[in-house]
Amino acid sequence: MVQYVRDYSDNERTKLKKEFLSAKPFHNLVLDGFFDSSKLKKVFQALLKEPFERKEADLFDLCQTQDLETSEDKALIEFRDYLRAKEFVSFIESITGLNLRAGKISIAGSLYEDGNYLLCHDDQLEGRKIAFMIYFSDLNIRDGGSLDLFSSSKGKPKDIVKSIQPKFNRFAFFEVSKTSFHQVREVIGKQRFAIGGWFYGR
Amino acid sequence: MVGNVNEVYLRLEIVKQIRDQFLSNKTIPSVHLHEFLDKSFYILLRKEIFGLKLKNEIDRLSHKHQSGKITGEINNLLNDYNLLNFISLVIGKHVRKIDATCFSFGTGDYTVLNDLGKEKPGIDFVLDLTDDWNKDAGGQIVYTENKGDGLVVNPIGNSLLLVQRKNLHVRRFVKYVNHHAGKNKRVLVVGKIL
Repeated sequence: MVQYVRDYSDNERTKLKKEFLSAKPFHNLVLDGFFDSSKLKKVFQALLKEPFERKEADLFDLCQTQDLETSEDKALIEFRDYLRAKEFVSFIESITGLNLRAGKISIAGSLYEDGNYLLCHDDQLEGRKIAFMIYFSDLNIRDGGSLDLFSSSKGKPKDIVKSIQPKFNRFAFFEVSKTSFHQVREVIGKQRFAIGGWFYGR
Repeated sequence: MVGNVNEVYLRLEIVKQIRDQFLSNKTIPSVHLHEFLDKSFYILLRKEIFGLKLKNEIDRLSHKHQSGKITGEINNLLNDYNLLNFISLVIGKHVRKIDATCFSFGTGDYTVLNDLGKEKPGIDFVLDLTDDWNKDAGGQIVYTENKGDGLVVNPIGNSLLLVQRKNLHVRRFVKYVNHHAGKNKRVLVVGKIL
């Protein structure tokens, strides 16, 4: 199988786990330059060939591919299979301390263009344990598009405590819970490409 | 108070056409009437309403906007005989009073569908005071029945929207207002028809 991520030692994993568990406002981690850059560029090139469909509702306005489960592109199939394989899922387990199900992920490409957004929500849906994002675009603060994580009070979102700006080869993930409130800030005048999805519990 | 409603809308044959149009949408009976108020009255009303002190309302899971109850003289202007009579004829039910609230949506504001916010079936009165709106700025009023979009209403100043929500599944939201709105505000007077 193609390797997209270098090996992490036990010490490194322990350090990342500590970082994940102590992150505010809820368990999360951001890893820059996480994947092999040249391989990720190939994934991005393949993603650009996928059809993106506009999705519009009260909570969001953005473009999305179908679940990459349906993709016939070799590079996307390999990448999807890598992310859901036992080796990678075990790596995420070792950092999060959660029991995750190998072989099952949801994964799709997203494109936010000028004025697109995703309003505050918690991502909770049966079985979802870890939400993840892999960014392909570099956006400055003035371009919007950040993933904003909210603190909570009495079960409701309160303040933005952490903003994760899109950056090529940035891998971000957080634990899904009833208070994992987050949003994607409106994009201004740019394109924001990413792949995102969820790992599920065992 | 004669002259608040555009005279065109006071002609009986026009009222009948509007009533037919209102009833023609079986799922979500509705009508959106442009240039509804007499122009000079609209300018006066808009000035009064834009002068109201509104309160920030934020519950990120359901809404972010400013709002304020309409009372006093502005309330009297809205509860004008011609207006109440016109609505009565269109919806086929005697309207005694409109209990109105002003909502203002700037960049970053919205409402979303929320199970907790289900309203009892009824008729919505929405007077739009939004002028010079950038069509790319969002802010549309969307009525849905279950998941599908049933009715999408674009911002148009001096327009009146009447919508009948026949059951609990018919709900509305105001689409997120994006940066194309600039400093412009999406201002709506939303009334409960009593």
